[in-house]
Amino acid sequence: MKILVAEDDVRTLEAINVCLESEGFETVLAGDGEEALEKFRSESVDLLCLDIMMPKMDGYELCRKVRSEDEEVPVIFLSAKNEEIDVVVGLELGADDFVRKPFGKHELLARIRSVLRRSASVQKSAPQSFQIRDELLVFPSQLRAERLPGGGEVSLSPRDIAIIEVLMSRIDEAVSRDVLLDECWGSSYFPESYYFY
Amino acid sequence: LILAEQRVSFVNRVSHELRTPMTNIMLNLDLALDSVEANTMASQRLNLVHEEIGRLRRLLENVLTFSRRGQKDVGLSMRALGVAEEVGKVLELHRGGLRDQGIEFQLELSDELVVRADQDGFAQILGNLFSNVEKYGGSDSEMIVRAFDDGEQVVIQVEDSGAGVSSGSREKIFRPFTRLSDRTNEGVSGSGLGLAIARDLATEMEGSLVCRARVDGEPGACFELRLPRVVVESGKLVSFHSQAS
Repeated sequence: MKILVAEDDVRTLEAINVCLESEGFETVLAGDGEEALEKFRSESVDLLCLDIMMPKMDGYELCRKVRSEDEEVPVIFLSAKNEEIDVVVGLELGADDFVRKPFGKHELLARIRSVLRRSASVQKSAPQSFQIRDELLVFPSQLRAERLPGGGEVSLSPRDIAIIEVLMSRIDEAVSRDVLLDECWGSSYFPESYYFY
Repeated sequence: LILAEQRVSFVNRVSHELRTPMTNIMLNLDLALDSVEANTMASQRLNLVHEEIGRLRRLLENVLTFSRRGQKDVGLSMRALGVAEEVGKVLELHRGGLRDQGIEFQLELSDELVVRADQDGFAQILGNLFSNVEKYGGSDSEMIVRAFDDGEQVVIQVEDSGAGVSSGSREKIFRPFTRLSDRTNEGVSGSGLGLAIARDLATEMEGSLVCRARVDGEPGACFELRLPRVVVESGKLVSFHSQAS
């Protein structure tokens, strides 16, 4: 799942990038509105996170252009403009959510997941799903699972889904840590052991 | 007046500029917390930083609210509200905090009291008064929330059995950014704007908020909020007091 982030503050951009990658999202980064529009056109992304005040082209203008080319791709504004009117303008332009600065990792990820879930649930075709024993029904495209039989939602990151898929494909086998690292983090990833606590 | 407006726009710009570095601090702090083991010295210290950032963030929002108040036009929507119900809702949010401080509370409210107020504004004032009791009421003390109709207005008193506020300071504490100097070393969090905003709100709702001595003369603080009453007869709203008189 690929997310384009447009943000002119280099440190914010970098920190958001690490947050998203740590959850297993792929990222495409842009430091201004024009670069973001170019990358939006050349890469196929599943969601955009846009700062509003950026050089060359601001986030509002960028959102307008994106919407004229793609009505469906989810857009989230990340902004220090915090007045109600700014939020209203953003949503009127067709954004799906508005995250006010300052925000932390957990708020950002929760908003992204919720927007992705909503946008996936309005897709016309029935979402793909697979079942784990008689316990869990997993919807990979919606980043969630339902507990069986009682119902009850579980939020999942792309990395959770990758781990489940690896384990499912080798059912009845013991899967080593190295295999999981290779398959779910990629071999270039420097393993930090805390992920396995 | 021009100076005041310049100050408001300055405050707005400053607090706007603060948002980006604060975002960077919060994101990096979350990432740092992810990479340290729980229950270590490092994680405890980082969690403290996390709490302080939360405080800084609340301060930022309060500064903004306050500077916006200066620009008037806050859009209060006045309606009839049951005092017992609203007090109950806000108290629920503070139940944990009061319990942690070992503060018992006692309610002396009648179900029939109805005020004319903005619901969020009323809740904000009550929330501020309750959190002040949490901060300054002293541990293992008692809070009394009392409400009655004095024939003209509804009077809501929030009393604690803490150190109280000396009579010379009772007006001072409503000024923005005022903290009584002898209290600042108690590790108490606050922006110094809570009471200033609460009084502003009360005034805009045609009421008042003052600090006074406790009704029974015992040591402790008493905050008295007065709001326009709504006359209720046999469960039916008859009229707003301000219209009846």
